[in-house]
Amino acid sequence: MENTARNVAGSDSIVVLVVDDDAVNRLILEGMLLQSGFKVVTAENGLQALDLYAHYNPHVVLMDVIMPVMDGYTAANRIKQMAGNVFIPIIFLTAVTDDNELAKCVRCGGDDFMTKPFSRVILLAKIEALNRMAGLYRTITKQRDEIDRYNIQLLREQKVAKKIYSRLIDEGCLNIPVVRYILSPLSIFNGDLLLATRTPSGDLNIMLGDATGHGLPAAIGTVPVADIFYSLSETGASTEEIVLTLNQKLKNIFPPEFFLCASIVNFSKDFRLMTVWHGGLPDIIVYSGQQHKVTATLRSNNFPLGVVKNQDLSPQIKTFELQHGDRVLMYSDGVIEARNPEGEEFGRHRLDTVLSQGTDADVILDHINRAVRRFRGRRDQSDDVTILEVNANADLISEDNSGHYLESVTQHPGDWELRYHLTQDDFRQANPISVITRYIGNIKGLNLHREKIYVVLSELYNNALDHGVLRLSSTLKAQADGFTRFLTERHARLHDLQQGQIDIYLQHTTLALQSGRLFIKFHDSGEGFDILAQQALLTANTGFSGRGLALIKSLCKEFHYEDNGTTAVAVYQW
Amino acid sequence: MTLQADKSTDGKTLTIKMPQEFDFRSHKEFRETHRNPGTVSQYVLDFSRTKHMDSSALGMLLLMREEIGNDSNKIRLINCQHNIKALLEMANFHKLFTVV
Repeated sequence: MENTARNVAGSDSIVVLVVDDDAVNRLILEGMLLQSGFKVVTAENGLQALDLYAHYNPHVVLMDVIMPVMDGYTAANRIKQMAGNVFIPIIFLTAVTDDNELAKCVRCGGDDFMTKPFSRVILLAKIEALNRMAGLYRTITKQRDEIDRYNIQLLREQKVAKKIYSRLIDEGCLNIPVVRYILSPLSIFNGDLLLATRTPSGDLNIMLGDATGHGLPAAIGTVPVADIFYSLSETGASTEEIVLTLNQKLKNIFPPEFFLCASIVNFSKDFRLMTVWHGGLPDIIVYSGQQHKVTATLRSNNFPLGVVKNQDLSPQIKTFELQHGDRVLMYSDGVIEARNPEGEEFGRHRLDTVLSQGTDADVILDHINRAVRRFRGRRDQSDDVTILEVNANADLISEDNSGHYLESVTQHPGDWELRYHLTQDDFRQANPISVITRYIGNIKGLNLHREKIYVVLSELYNNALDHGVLRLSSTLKAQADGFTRFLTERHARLHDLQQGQIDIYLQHTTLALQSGRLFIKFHDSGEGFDILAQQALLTANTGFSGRGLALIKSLCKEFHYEDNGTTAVAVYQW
Repeated sequence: MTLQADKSTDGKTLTIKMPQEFDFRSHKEFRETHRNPGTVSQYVLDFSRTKHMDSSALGMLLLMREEIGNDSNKIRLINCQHNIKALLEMANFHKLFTVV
């Protein structure tokens, strides 16, 4: 009976709500249905049907059309409203065969109709078919709800991850006035990466990266990249060194199908030169600030990072001259591959069109961005466009606004001493000079001399290590392929080194409010050399190998060797 | 079926007709083509239908190369349209595969 029907519906049997004002019809239908294993609930009119529907939640409704109190059309309509997103099949039971009446049944929410008298076989078949559809609908709705829930959760997680990620990945000095960029807030989940930092010599190092794949794996892969890029840039490492280190790291951690398309560009302090390593990203474009047109296009000529092992990499690095005010434009493939609602790609030719309109260089970035967005139209949801512009205008950077690790310069110069004792293991690790330079970068006044001091210290360190501890001859460098051989030999000897020491001693004395004297002493465990012969070479300043020493001499007030060449003494005055 | 793989009569060469859009959606199907090489020693990837390709497609090519033993001569990429060729060259892939 009625009050047990809901419980029964909890089992697998199908609950059918029969609505008919004719008691005989109800009996016939109920009999047919019960006999076939359905559970049945019956109502005498539309209004009662609504009550029972709410109470028993039937799977299928059989609805008479003309009834007292509330007719079938109204009741069907209400039930459909009550059901909301749930599909509840309603079959109209009608004596009429008029097409218009039947159409009305469907308009009111009916899913099918049967004309009286009923064929038992057809009725049962219809109930079963419609119930199957309802089942399918329920499954799909359930899955859709699950996907919705999952999506909401994913978006929430991404927002949190973005927060963590931005703390993990230092933005470096992307905020300096020569750099402008467009990067979508969630683009890290496309694996896009944008890094900028100053080197100790005042250059600007920029890296744009685009990891294969999407989502978290791509984002996670970019984390060590930022660390390596920043730490190596800050030690003054060459572009090649940065490329090799990143490539090795990524080759180790990425599965074979993952890699990072990237460009690493070094801008000289005066922005007259740029050194480019370009692997797998679209062409870098130089847009002239004076002529308002493209003056150079740099095509990728390297493997992306993490594709091949270091020994097969042989990085190609190019140097370009820039004019004052040139804009160097770098972008991810999201720009070229942006699609419009018809599925066409934005493509290189549309980018070229934007670039060939004589647009003022000040707004060229905005014009590109606007063109891509307009092209995408309503499809603009994935939003993975990353564009970066560097303005080759050194005037925009003032001396005291250089380098993000110098933001909190609080320490006053004062008088201090610093001793470093380095042994074989230290030499194989990162360059210790960067640590010292970073320290100096925190001292007010002296920090402005950081770049020159860095040059002096690195030259002294390299000499002490290469020619002192490792006993490499600089005549090697003078030969045709000498430099490569020198580096290979250096690498081998450093690897095999059993014992060796370098002692660094720095002493600073304040002379006046904005002036001081930095005494520098390097002592190495090598055999030393003929000081007089070295000095002759230095005076001549012609040889390839003497340049480093000449540089130190030009920067320091005093510079000489002692102890048969095992000790170097320099005085930097400011 | 967006991908179509046909073995030559001697069973040594497998020609894979690449889909119109070669991207992460083809991942599973593409991998199936070379999972069990059997007698196959040469792979020909026919790109004549392919209009678009993304970076994850490049990744799949790398994975395939790795799985069949990192031999540039074993995989030939043929009938590449201009933009596909440009994409391959941008990533220096013409040095890892024979692109005709």
